Amino acid sequence: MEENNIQLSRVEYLESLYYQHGPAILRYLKRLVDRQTADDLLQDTFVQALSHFDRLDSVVSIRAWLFTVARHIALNNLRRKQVTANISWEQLIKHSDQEDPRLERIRQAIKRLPDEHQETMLLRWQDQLSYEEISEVLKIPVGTVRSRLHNAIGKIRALLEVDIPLAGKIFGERNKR
Amino acid sequence: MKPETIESLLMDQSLEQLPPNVEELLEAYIAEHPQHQKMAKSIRQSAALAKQAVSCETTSELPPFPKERIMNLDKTNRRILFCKWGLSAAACLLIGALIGVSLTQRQDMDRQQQFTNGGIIAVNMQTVPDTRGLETARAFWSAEKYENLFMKNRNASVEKKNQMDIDRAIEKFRKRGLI
Repeated sequence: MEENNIQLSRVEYLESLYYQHGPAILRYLKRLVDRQTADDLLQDTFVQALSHFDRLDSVVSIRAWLFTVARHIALNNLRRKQVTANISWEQLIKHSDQEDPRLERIRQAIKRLPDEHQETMLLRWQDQLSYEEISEVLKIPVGTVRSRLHNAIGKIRALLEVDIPLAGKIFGERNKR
Repeated sequence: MKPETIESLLMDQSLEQLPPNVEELLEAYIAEHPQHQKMAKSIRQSAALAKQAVSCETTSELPPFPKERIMNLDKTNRRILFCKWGLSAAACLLIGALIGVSLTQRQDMDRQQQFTNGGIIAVNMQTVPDTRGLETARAFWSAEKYENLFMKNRNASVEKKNQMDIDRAIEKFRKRGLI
C-alpha cells in the first residue's frame, strides 16, 4: 500500500513537472526534430527522467535538467537516424500583420549565425533559461554562454545601426567557417 | 568605469541576467553619465527586438502525459532493484558459505595430516602472537630485573672473594713447602 503511494507520488510529481515544463521542452524539441518525433521524445524525456529520479534532489535546476535529458534524447535519436542536428525555429515564430520590418532582417541575420550561437540565443529568449541553466544544458562554461549572447546582441545592434549590405558582412562569419 | 565594462553590464541587463542591486547601481551610473545613455538605449533596443524576433507562439497542444508507461516502468525498475539487492545478498551468503566450508575442510585436512605424520602436533608459530618486543620492554622496566642483576653481582663478588681466599691459602702452603 505504502509502496503504491510512493510510486503514485513520484508519478504525480513527474506529471506536475510535465505540465509545468512540458510546453517549453516540446518547443525546444521541435527546434531539433520534426513535430511528430518531438511529441514522442517529450514523452521519452519524462520516462527517462523517472529512471534517474534519484538525481532530481541533487540538480540545481530541474528545468535545466529536463532540457538536458531532452537534448540528449533528441541527439541520440538524430544519431540513430544518421541525421545531423539542424536548428529550425522559423516555423515556430509568431508572425503578426503589423510586424516591425526590422524583425525579419534580424531573423535572417540570426539564421546566419553558427548553430551553437543560435541555440544559445533561443534557449535564452524563447525558453527563458538563465546563463547557468544554458551552461548546464549545452555543457559549456557560463562565460561562453555570456560571450555568445553578447556577441549576438552586438551583431544585431550593428545591423540596426548600419546598412543591410554592411550587416551582411558582419553576419557573414558563418559562411567563412 | 570603462565603456567596455558598461557595455557588458548593459548587455547582461538587456538579457535580464543582472542581479537587482547591480542593476540599480548601473541605472544610477547611466543617469549620472549621459554619454553612455545612447549606448544603453541602442543595446536595450537591439535586445528587445531580437527577443521579439524569435518569440514564438505558446504551445497548447501538449501530448498526453504517459502515465501508464511511466507507472509500468516504475514497477519494472523497482523489480529490477529488488532483484539486484536479492542477488547481491545471495552472492554474499554464497561467498561466506564457500569460505566457511573451505576453511573447515582445510582444518580437517591439517588434522588428518598431523595424525598420519606420527601424531606429532605441529604448533603453528604464526598463530602465536609475537610479544617478544613487548616482553623485552616489560623486562627492561621491571624491578625483578634489577633484583636479579644485584644478586648476580653479589654472587660474583662472593665467588671472587672465595677464590681470593683459596688463592691466598694455596700461596701460604707453597711458602711453607707443603705443596
